[in-house]
Amino acid sequence: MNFSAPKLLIGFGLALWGWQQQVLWAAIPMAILSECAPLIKTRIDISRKELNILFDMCAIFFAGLLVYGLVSSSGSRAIFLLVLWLPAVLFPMLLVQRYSSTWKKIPLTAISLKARKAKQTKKSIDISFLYLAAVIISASSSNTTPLFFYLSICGLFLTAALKLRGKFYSIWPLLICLPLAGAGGFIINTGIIRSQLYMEENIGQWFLDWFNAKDDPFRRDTRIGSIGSLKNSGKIIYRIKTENNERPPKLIRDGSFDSLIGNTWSASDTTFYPLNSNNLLDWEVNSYIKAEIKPTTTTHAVISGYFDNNAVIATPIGTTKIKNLPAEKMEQTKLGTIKASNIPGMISYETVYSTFSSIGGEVNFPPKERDLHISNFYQQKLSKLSEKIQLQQNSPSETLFALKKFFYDNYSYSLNLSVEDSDLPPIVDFLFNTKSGHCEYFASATVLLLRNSGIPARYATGFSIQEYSDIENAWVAREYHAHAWALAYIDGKWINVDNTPPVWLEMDKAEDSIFLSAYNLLSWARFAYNKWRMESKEVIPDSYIYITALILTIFFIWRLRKRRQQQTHTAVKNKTASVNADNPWLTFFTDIESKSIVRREHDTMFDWLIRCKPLLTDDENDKLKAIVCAYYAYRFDPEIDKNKIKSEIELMIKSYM
Amino acid sequence: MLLRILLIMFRPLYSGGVWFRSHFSNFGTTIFYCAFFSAIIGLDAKSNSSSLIFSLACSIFLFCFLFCLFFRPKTSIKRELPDFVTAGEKFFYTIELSPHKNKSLHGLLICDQLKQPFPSFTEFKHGYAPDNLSSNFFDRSVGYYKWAWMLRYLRGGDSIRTEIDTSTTSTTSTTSTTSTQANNCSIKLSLTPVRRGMIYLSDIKLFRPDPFGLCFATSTIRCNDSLLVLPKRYDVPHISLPGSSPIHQPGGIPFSSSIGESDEFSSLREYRPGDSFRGIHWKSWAKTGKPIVKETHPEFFIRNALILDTIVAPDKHEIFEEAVSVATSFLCKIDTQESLLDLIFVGDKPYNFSMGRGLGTTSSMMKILACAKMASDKNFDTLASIVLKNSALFSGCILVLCDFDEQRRALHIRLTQANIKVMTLVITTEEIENKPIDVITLNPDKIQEELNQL
Repeated sequence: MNFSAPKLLIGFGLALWGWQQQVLWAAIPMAILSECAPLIKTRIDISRKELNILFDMCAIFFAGLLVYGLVSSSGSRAIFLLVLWLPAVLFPMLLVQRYSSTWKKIPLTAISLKARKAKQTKKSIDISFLYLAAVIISASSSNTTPLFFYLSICGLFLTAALKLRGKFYSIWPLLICLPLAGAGGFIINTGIIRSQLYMEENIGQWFLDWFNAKDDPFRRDTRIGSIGSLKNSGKIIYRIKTENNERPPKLIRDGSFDSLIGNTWSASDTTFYPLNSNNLLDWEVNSYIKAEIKPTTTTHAVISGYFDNNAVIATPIGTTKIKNLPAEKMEQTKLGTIKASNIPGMISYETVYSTFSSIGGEVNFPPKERDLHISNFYQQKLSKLSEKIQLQQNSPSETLFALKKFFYDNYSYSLNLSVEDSDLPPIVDFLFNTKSGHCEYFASATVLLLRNSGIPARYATGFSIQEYSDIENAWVAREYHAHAWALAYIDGKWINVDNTPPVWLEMDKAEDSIFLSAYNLLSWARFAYNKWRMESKEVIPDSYIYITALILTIFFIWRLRKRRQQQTHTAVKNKTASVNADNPWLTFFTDIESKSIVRREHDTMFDWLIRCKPLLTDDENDKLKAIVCAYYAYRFDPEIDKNKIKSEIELMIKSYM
Repeated sequence: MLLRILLIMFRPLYSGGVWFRSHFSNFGTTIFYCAFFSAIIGLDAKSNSSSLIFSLACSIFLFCFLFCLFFRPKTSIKRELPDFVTAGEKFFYTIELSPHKNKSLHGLLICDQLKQPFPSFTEFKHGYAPDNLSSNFFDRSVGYYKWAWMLRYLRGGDSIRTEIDTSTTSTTSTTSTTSTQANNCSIKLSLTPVRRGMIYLSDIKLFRPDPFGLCFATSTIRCNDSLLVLPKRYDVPHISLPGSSPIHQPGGIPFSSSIGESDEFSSLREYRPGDSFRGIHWKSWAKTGKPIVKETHPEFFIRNALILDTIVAPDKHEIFEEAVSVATSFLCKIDTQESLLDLIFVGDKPYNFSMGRGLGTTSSMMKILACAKMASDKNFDTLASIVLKNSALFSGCILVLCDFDEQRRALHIRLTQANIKVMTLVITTEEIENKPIDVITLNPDKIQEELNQL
């Protein structure tokens, strides 16, 4: 890179960055510092080693910012935080180039470890244009004033192109083509945005579903019918705390579905109904509790986790209130799925849920026809099985018990997915052939068998709460605790029906990584930090970080300068000491210095004497001149008798004194 | 197997890189990467403005593409190269451009293309590359840096894209342009050869920048030439081999009876590192603008030998190159006007070239050394046998070795025992056990310093 950014361009770019990212307080001083370099005469002498340290520090800040971003928010937010502060992180590099007396360009050894190792000391680059590019990209990561930003980058490009264009064409093709290109760019951008909207609405739906299936409140793709091995990580998704560390509900739900098409469960009613709130923190969950049904107990549980901007919230069945959840909007479907909009990266909300019986329950949104629907094919296949288990002849409670016993006695849990008869639907294959599967098989089969027995049933997904963490002093739900079960409508309320053999938890746990303990500790530290941040309401926690970073930077620069000064001082001292090592009359000369003028570092004795002349008498001057001449002879004349001249000098000094 | 697959992948990767660099200016490259990162950050075009940068860049590059169409300059080109140059020394040469339709070439860029040989799998696997190319295990395992280094080494150097500026007539250190006829111009280009041997210049590329200065339209004009790069040379002290006159007699025997210590010379040539400053012909320097030295032809009748050890393991590539340089340096220092010098080494077969007394010149010998290659597959006995066979003819010999194992030690002893004055130089980084007193070791990293102490 051997071309530099034109004058004022970086200043303008920084101002644009400040405007776009609303950090003008940082951008303006940076812009002034950057552009005033030609006006300020002071230059810093910085060695190659110091430069390397400075650039390493920039790299550490960069990494630190990334870690901070990852700790304090989700992945994409961390990237945007990094992009936002990129100009500030790289600014010391630009300052070195602008204010260093040694480096007009940045040597490659400072930037590249490879070059440093290979000692490629000759190569250097001008980073001003690269820095400008970083500033513009950083400015673009915000969407404050797109039109102004677009016009600004067109202007910046024109300025740069005027300097860097070739000589073959005159200036006119550039001046004519750039407005056309600008207009073209605007049209392209409009096309991109429209294409994105179109993709989001239509073609991209499957793509988004594939990756975001978990957060889709209306659909849940299952691994039913797949072959292979299921393996989830031990990442902690939720932390649940209850009053007096009581056992929380065994299942927390983030979705309910009523239609099975192929291997996908979906919600037939996709309408969201807003939840009421007075302060956008505490929310009343829609519940149509029949007057005759009274809750037996009301319990509280605090659930914490990391979320995207818009996310589905997991709640225990029977939730009536959600407290302390800062959201712009909360909505709920008739199937009970709750969605929160515009929430912070990490939230810790309190759910108030009612238990109506020993196994919990929920009375909102009574069942519809859809909750009893079962396709003819399934009906034919499952009727025989229902008869065999004698489901239809029992009361609902007995049906549930018989069904559980049937699954526990005849089926096994497995994470290794297999297919025996690929012509049959996977659930039928599971029920009649393989008799082995994971929770989705058990949940789907339970829903179908319950519906076949005339009991309204739904498919629910969420997490099973089984693990208590001593480190965190809370119950935790890991990724491998993700679970599916059935909801059955019995005695006027929805209850959880989980027929998956309990062995599944042990099997999932057996897959624990050997690094799980370390992960647990780190995860807890991250959570504790974020919780502290969330709960610190008096100050903006981010400002702590920025102030600390600033103080650290100043401290490092000060330390670097001081060490250098010390080194210089020691070097001078050593040099002086070595020069004066053979000067037995150092005290005499120092005395003269204290009476007249201090001898400068590079003064010869005679130069110093000339400077001292006005302050001394003629006699003193003559005597001193003679002493200095004799001293020179003592030091530099190889043939002279040292002892003799030494005694002569001492006599002369005595006479002078 | 993996290495083979990687090697197959390297070539398109390298060609892609070459294509990219030849079609994009530095400014264009920056804008390209800017657009690339904007595209990543601006994946969600609605939520940030990064897609605006990407869109603007796309639109501008579209215009650039249009401007890059239809570039077919009809121009006659002629290179004027020096006869030979020295490895590691920057040299200048000129290219004469004569546009057919008398169109101005002002603002175009020109770049000489060096023929790029590609290493075979075996060459790549067993070939030499410096250790400090890659700093981590991954790079070393993948070997792309080694590949890139080998390509540059085989190519012989890097040519630089230079702008044709017909408006200037003054000569600068890097490029100069002088108009001879209307729109005909002569461009001065420079090149630094990274190795000795032949360098092939294949094409000359002309580049036309677009109005934005981002991309280039390119046109290739075929113009094949070759250039011999002589080995790097050191300043070696005068050595007194048997037969050398203790008092140097310029002009040698043919002139000694009539002119004595005169400074008559027999020819002029360009200065090469290691030449004595006393030999510089100042008038010619003033005329040509580059240092010229005068050559003399001292006359002796003695036969000496310069023996170069080429039987070296492939990993000792650097040591071998230094050995060639040392041999070349001594070759230039030995008087061959009045004595004969045999250059003996092993290539695909043993070679023995004689020079002096009209048989050959230093230049021709240097050309031979420029093309000397390692004979890793040969046994040192091949060299030893040819040396010993001719040893009866030699009065003295310089033995330049890359190692000092038993075979080489035996040769040194046998030559010494044959009453030949032997100067044995071993280029090595290792300590030699029981080193004979008359064997001189030279560290490849500080050869000049150690030669100065001879």
